[in-house]
Amino acid sequence: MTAVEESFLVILVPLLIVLCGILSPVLFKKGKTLAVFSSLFFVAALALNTWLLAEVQEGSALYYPSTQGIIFNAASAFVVEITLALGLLGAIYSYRYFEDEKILPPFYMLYSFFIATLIVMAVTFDVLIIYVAFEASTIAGGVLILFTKRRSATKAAVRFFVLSVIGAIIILAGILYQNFLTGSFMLEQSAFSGVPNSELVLLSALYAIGFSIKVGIFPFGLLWLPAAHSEAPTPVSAILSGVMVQIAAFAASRIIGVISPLSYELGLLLVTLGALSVIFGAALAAVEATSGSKHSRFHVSPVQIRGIKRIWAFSTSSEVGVFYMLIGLALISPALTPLFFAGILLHFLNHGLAKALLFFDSGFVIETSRTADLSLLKGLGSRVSVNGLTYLIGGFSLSLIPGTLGYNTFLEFTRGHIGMEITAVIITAALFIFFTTLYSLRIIVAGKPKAKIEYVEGKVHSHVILRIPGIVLAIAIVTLGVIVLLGANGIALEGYYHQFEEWFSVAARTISEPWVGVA
Amino acid sequence: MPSERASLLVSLTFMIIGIAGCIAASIASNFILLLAFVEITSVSMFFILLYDFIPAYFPDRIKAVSLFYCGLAKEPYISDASVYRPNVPLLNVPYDSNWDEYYDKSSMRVERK
Repeated sequence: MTAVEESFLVILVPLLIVLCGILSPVLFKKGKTLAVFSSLFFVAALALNTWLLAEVQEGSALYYPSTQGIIFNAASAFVVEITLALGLLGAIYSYRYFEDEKILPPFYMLYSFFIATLIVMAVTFDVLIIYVAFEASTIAGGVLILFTKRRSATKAAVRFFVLSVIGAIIILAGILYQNFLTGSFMLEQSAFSGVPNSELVLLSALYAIGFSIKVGIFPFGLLWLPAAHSEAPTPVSAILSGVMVQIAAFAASRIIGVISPLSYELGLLLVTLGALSVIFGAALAAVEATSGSKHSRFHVSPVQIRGIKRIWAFSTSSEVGVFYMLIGLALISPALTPLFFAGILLHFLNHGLAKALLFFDSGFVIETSRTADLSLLKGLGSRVSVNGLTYLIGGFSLSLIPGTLGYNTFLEFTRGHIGMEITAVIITAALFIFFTTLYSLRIIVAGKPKAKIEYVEGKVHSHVILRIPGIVLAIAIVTLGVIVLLGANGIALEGYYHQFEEWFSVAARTISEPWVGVA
Repeated sequence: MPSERASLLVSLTFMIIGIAGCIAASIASNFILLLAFVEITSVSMFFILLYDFIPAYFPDRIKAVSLFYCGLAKEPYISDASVYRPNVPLLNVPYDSNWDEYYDKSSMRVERK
């Protein structure tokens, strides 16, 4: 194919998800049929996107209705693929997660709308569309948090809403400034070529700070991220953590990648903010696991807990720091930008799968034990079964252990072009997460509650469906992780690994360019 | 349908129209239309913020008895709870108090040591 072609199919991907949100709750009120129908829409969108992903190889792109509208290139299609895959797992999981079937229709409606807004954010080079999708995702995400129906969830939703709106206002200032400088809302490198570097630095800083709030970078992230991610219903937590914050980081990298200001100071600022997020988030995750919200803070309820989901919410605050570190490094060493941007896509894959897995499994533990507080959790023992292993795989992937996808991030940060201090930050955070995974799993399997617990007979039950997403994601993490481990070290599967590497190096360039390298 | 719910539905409808219009106007690069849709979206968002989020975040209960103090001191025919009792904002369903302390009170009994 040529570099860029028009195709109506690209708009079908978000459209199918929007249709899912409109049609499913209108046509079906029963939980099972509603879930099946919604999941079918996700499967159709995923199949279509997989086909599009195969179509946009070697840097080409598909657009509709113009190149200023929706653009599917390798990076965008890759991000949408992960979004849809996790969205599908979340849709299946939600069916058994909510006990009250009456709230399923509005839930599926908003859930689909939320996923659609995230997709739109990833498939455009128009900052206005990114902004509108950003705002829409804030509304849908904020309301989805409320589905827990806990008073503290309302507080978390308000925090999320207010901070996201502050971030959006800063981004809007950036958009207007960009329009003043270039006369356009499009992200085209040629539009910025005549603009003085000092203006580009200011513009990039506005976008970086605006998006940092939604991404959950230190210090803003600590204000809303642990609260919102832990208070939301589990399938929403998985999407907030595994997709939303990452798509915000992806959008930030796209915008800053296109503007590409020459500024060591701005690069250093982003690396520093990223590093602080990485360290603080990981350390607070360990504090949450060992001594709870009394010491880790940033809790929205007067009831102090050791929240299993709060652990992974703090960990998200840590992992998103990696994105800002990579964007900052790309600004410090512009020649190595493709390498760092490939790191962004690889980390998107690793963190997206691992974090969604950990949230899905945490939700399974909460539903089985009927408590979200580790200090009240009576070890589940053999009832954890295979999900103990999948939980371990998710935690290991975030701890950068070889044999999991996290090994990719380890390779990225231990190469020669990365400074020792940055490697040290990443390894330290990985050690914190490694400890946290083992410690929390020990409590899940064999924990002794710090209270006298008595279960009401016949009330406790677990659902097989809640186990499935964790198992699927663990298989994906290990399969890809083994290919990376064997291929990168020249033991076996080198062909696959090199294909993998080559694809990512081309896709990385399409983060900041709509299409590349095709005649 | 209570008037509160009706006005909320209207504002939600406007918000969705506004967002869809914003996306369409962005694609069509029509700046004037875009601003109009941004305005519609933001006004409906503020309505929802003022109408649902803020009352839910800062619940303000009215003492029904005090309303009648200066009157004839008759028995109030409305209770405290009926004067103001916020549900989960937007969802219009009651809060799930079973999970207030992060465990399901209907499934387990907890005696803290």
